Amino acid sequence: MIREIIKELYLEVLEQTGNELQVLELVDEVVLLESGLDSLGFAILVARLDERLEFDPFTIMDEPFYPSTFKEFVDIYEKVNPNK
Amino acid sequence: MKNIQDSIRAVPASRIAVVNKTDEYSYGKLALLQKDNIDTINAIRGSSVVIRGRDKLEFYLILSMLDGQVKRILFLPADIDSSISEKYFNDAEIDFEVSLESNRLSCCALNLPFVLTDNNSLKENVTEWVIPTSGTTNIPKLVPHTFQSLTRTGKLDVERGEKYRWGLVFDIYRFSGIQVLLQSLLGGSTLIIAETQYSMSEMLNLFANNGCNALSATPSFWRKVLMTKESENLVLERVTLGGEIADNNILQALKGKFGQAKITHIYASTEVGVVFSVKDGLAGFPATYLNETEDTIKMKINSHGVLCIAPKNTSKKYFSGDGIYDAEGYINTGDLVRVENNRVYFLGRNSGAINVGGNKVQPEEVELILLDTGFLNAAHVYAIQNPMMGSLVCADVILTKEHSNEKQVKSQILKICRENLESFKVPAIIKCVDEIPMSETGKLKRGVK
Repeated sequence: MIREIIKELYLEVLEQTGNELQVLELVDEVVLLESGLDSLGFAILVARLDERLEFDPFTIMDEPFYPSTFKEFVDIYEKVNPNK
Repeated sequence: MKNIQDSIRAVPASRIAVVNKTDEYSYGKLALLQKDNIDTINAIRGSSVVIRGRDKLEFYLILSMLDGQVKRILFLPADIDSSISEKYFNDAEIDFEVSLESNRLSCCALNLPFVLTDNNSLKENVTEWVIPTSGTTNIPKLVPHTFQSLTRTGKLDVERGEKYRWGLVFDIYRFSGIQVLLQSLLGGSTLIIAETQYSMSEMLNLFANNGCNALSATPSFWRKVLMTKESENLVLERVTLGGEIADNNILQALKGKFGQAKITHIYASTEVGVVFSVKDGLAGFPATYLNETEDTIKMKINSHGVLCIAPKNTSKKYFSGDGIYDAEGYINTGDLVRVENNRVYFLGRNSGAINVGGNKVQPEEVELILLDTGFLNAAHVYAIQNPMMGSLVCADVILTKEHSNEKQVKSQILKICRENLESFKVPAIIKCVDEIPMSETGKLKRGVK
């Protein structure tokens, strides 16, 4: 569920920032900073997800961690999700 | 020590001073480079020169050769508009533009003919460094410094410095980059230069391959570093943050990643230099810093909640001759702060300027573009906090009656913004609202939301 929302908003932010997907598909092993979104794009994605899901895992995590792959990114949202 | 060459000669000649991807210079080679170019240096001795938009390594080499030889060096980053450059050249009475190719210094006369007079002669081998502030909200101001004024607090310790290999990611033309350059120079350390055009992985591979163990960067840069696999290869002893608010999140994340490193966040400005550094690994700074001591700079929080600082020597002026300090000797930093549990926390800019990963955005500029789209009755641009970039640009907008299809209008507005604004200025979030709050004076409310 969360994975699908992330994918949907990822593609929206990609369009919003005028970027294109640099990989065939957003699969687990995709390296975030090589996927098409730059760090500003990820910042926007986190803000858009906060708007939609009403939580920002990066500010509520006990041990701050920055993801490098798509799987790590999704895991953070699934793990920290206060609504599960 | 009066200039860079004095400090270069205090370091063992075989030690490596600076490297980038393709080149390497020992401290001995730096001294030789000046010797090899002495004819050109003699021809421009005592003049005022500009280094404009050259690569970082080239800048480093030229500065090391000319410091103590010319009257004045204007540091002109590549991002300064050419119309402003002309004004700077006139103000700073620039005679030559200098460059370096294949270790050969060359100069191009901008102000003919150059005649050495008492007026433009070099005083006691001290060269004036003219450094632009980072202000992107208006024309950057020029601040005069010297090697001596910038190294006053730094001690030359070439024994301790031997083990450090500093990575340079900041702009070397500006205070933050110069600070890293000087720190490495005074320690007789090695500076590893990442040129502006390098990608993140290129930078980090360069650092790892050259044994970088000390790195100074903005919190936004650090967040990006932590998102890379290459960061696994970095073994850091010194981690320094500056230029933006360092929040607990990034400080903790860095501690988790580089546990053995000494983590410091620095508060500095081009005008004053380093005001203080915080080493306890927590956001903000202890409120006790507000109490003046022998070793600290006097600070106060004014009635608007803005941090003001008063260095002991307040005679310094901007290059234009305008004063930097008020009648009581304070400079208003424009940084809003809040005191909580004996700790002072930074909240953002009093002007409402938004710091997106180190790039400043003036909300009014974005509002003008938004209103120009013709889709809106009103727009209010402000900062929202963000764990990746520190802040992002957010816009509350009121649509006109004729344009009520939110999704369609938003996408058109974004398109126009992208065509007219740099990417970090384009609103990350656009919210359609019914009302936009105003202050009592009828102005949009600025500051932190």
